[in-house]
Amino acid sequence: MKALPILAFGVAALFANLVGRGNAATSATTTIDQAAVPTETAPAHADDCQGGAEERVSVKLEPDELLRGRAGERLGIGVHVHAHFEDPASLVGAVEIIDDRGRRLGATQNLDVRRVAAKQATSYRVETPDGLRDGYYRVQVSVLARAGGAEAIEELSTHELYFNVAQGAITPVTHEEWMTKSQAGLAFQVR
Amino acid sequence: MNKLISMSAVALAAAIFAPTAAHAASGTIKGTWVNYQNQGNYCDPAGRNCTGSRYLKSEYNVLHPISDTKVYVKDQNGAVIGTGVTDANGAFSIVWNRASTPSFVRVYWQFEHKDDRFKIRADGGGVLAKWTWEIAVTNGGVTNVGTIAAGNASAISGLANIYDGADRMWNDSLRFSGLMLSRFTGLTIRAYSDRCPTACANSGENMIWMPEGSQFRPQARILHEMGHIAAGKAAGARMDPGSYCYPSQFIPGEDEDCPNAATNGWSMTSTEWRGVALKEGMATVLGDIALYWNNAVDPRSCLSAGECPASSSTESSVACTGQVGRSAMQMVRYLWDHYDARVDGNDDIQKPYYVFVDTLNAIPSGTSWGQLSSYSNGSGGVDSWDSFHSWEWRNAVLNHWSGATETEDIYFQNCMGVF
Repeated sequence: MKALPILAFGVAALFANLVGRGNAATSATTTIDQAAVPTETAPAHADDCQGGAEERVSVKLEPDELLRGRAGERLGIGVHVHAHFEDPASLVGAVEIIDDRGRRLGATQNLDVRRVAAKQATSYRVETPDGLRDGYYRVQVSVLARAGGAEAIEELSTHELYFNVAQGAITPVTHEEWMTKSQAGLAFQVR
Repeated sequence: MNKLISMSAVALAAAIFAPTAAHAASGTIKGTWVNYQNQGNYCDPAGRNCTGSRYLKSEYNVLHPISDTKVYVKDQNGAVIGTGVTDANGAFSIVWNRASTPSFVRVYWQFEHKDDRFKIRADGGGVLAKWTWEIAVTNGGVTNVGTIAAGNASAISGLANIYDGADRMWNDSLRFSGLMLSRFTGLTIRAYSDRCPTACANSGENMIWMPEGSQFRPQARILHEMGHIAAGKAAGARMDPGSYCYPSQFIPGEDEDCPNAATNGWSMTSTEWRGVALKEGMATVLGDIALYWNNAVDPRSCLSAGECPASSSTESSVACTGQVGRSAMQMVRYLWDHYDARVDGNDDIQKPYYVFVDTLNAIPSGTSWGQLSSYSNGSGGVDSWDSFHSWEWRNAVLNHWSGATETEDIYFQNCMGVF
């Protein structure tokens, strides 16, 4: 086993600044909330927008270790799911290993059905099979989260992580390498 | 003598035809590009009134034309020997020219709009592509390669889905504005980028950064970010100080310096500075219009790879409690009532789509109230963290739009609160 550098794959919405605080004021007032207005300097960041809307469920795929199997290496991957709902949420999910031509390898693995408290996170761990032939592969994780009662809120997200196998050795790769060095760019003929 | 004339004629003929020797072989390639549509935010008639929806469940998880995009024919060495574009059905017909007949060609799709409105590139700027198998061609021949799929049900292309979202935004929304026809061009979308965890845009750089995970959530990602680009190009200047840290949510010791902090996030229902709510609401509505006509019965706006839930309806009545005039969702509902043709309450305005960008373009520059940089004190500081806010917007529509459109009723109907 050898440690992998932590690679920043996936949607890594960082909610650290929001944890522990409400997203909405609960005051029943109909007048605008007149906050104290400090006269300070505007931040000098250039983007038109600080970022898109935050996810109610953030999913991060993080390759964390390489495991030596009898037929080569396996990649251990942490699947970190953070539900940001105001209510407890139920999580279901699926994991697939797919090669660069879209072929599924093995059966789809289900993530354990879990219920998490409001604004809480949970982690799963999955491993790629050993004995993969040389080539490029992706791990595809789909997570469906549902919160609330009669008016349930659902959020579905799909995330991917790419890796290369060469003589049994596994290396995580970027999406750009996936698109330019694998056969993922090769189109399909519709017959 | 005759022989000399004959030889001269041969030499002359050789000289005349010599330039064409560089294109001694040519032919035509025909085909159709399609993609496996996997974007969320469709409308499912099975459980919802989809009147006025432009993206139905029947278009989801099926092959869909890749329309209005550039296509290249390359020889066995990778050299471009022909270019063309697809039509609305994804079909193309391209003449290739080469010094000799290539041993084979491939057809490439590089995620580029036919009129250079936008293109998708790698995070580092490199060209990304889909390409065909080896295609045998003949000099003077017409080769029909049939239907080419950029992705299918087992190999879904995230890039192709981002492209489709961008094409919808252009084709079903932005191109209906004369101002956007003039200004919205050359946008680069950096896909699978690490720059912003939730996607971001910069109209000055004319660029959008899309992270992994955003490819199947069009409304809150590619449509929304292109909405920011459109608004930025229309206004021509920043309209708020850029703080996403509203004091009521600030926790000393946990959050960054507030309100200077730009790094706190937002959601459709979070409490924000009013200018931020306007900005994010505006970008969202510009994108929503790509998915809904103005007669939509149940338009919704959400962040999901599936269908939007009922709670994300942009036509719902709003209870005027809680954060008043400070959430993006309230702004979306206020702005949607500018545009929609359905009368619910006092929203019988029905302005054309371009009221949004044309009004932004008409707002005068300056730092006074009602001007583009009204948040600024004129010397690099901020004297109104809430500006440019929704009441300034209401006045801009009233002052600058022909017919002096009054949106005061829908302003209060959607809980914009105070002036």
